[in-house]
Amino acid sequence: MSEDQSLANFRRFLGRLRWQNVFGLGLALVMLSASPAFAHTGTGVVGGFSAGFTHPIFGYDHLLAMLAVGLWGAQIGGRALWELPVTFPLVMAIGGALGIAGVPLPQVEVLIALSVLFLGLAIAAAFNPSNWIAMIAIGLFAIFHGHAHGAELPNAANPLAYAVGFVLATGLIHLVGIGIGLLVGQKLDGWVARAIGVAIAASGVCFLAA
Amino acid sequence: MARSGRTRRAAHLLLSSAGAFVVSAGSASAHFIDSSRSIVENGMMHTLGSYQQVVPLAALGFGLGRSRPWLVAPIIVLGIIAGYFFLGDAPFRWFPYLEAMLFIACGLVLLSDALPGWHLELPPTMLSGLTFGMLLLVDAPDDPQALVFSAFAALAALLIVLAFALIRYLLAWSWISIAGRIAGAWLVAIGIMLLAAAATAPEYVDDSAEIPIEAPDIQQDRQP
Repeated sequence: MSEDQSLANFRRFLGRLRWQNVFGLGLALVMLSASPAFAHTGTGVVGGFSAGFTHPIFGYDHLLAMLAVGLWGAQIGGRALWELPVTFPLVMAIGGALGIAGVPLPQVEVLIALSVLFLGLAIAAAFNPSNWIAMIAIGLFAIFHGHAHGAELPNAANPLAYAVGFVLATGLIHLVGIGIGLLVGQKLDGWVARAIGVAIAASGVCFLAA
Repeated sequence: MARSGRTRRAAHLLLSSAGAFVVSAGSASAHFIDSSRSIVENGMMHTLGSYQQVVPLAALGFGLGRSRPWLVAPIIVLGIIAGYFFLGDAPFRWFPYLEAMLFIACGLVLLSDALPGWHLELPPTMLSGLTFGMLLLVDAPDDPQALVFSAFAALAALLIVLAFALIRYLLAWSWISIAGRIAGAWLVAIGIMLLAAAATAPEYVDDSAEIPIEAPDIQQDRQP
């Protein structure tokens, strides 16, 4: 089966997802992320799976950037649909390793905010570079996102569960971004996706100003 | 590849069971030898009860046999044997590194799906087997039955790999290779993070043997 056919089928699969599938997946994730430690307040140790899973979700700058990666991949189309979501976690893990090792990086928070702004602008402008350029841009920002996450890991009670939770959450946010991109990408000649890009870029400006 | 409705239903059932099994695997029970169970049960449960091993092995099975399963499957077995018998003597402190390497190697097998030649799948497959073999040796109980324990732990690992390879073969979803590449990237990312965590973790020092014997002092205290 050709690559294009696989991609077309993947797009069709995402388009066919029903609310029951999404609800079931969400329920499974909630059950997975529940932990006995969460039930008792006053525990100070950064936990395992749930702490890792919620870290990218409740950091809105991370959330928007990762959502934008998926959305941009869907907007570019072709191999970028999977190449960008594959590049981001791989390079992010290297940034995470630097964070774990305590290697300092300059202006991590500023560059994370810049990544939100850049990705928002790329979507708003429907910027369609070659896949390599998109992957390099994504990879550059992913290092800083990973560093911010990785700095938390040495304190985690269970590093494996933390790493699994945080990589899984990152990947799922990418998939949500791809899903949004496939659902609204062609609506109104792509202007809905562009409007979302503008909103993401505006959030990036807010993060920079904060 | 078209499959009949009954085959698809069987595959879905198999996938659901396998998914439930992966979710139910814990992390704590894997590295303890339960004296109430036989060495065979302990060996099997060592692999089946640990998601640190079940998840990468499931991924390995899913990535297995892109085009030549009859060639790739024996490579895993060879890797396990080579890792166990020829790369032995790994100290226990290597354990977290090997665990991380297993994630990376199995993730690379899934990712290699994106590469042009089927033979590029072989090095990460071999690495997965080697790493698992070394993990077995590091983790085996220090007694004469270690070989039996390890053999059944390896058998359980092969069952996981074969079950997931079968699921992939039966389902034959056309988009599965793309989903596999994304999942492979996740596994490699987890492995890199674990490698870094292992490298920076404070080394465990067993200082129980260093406690000085206080008996003479006690005797001195008892003297009037």
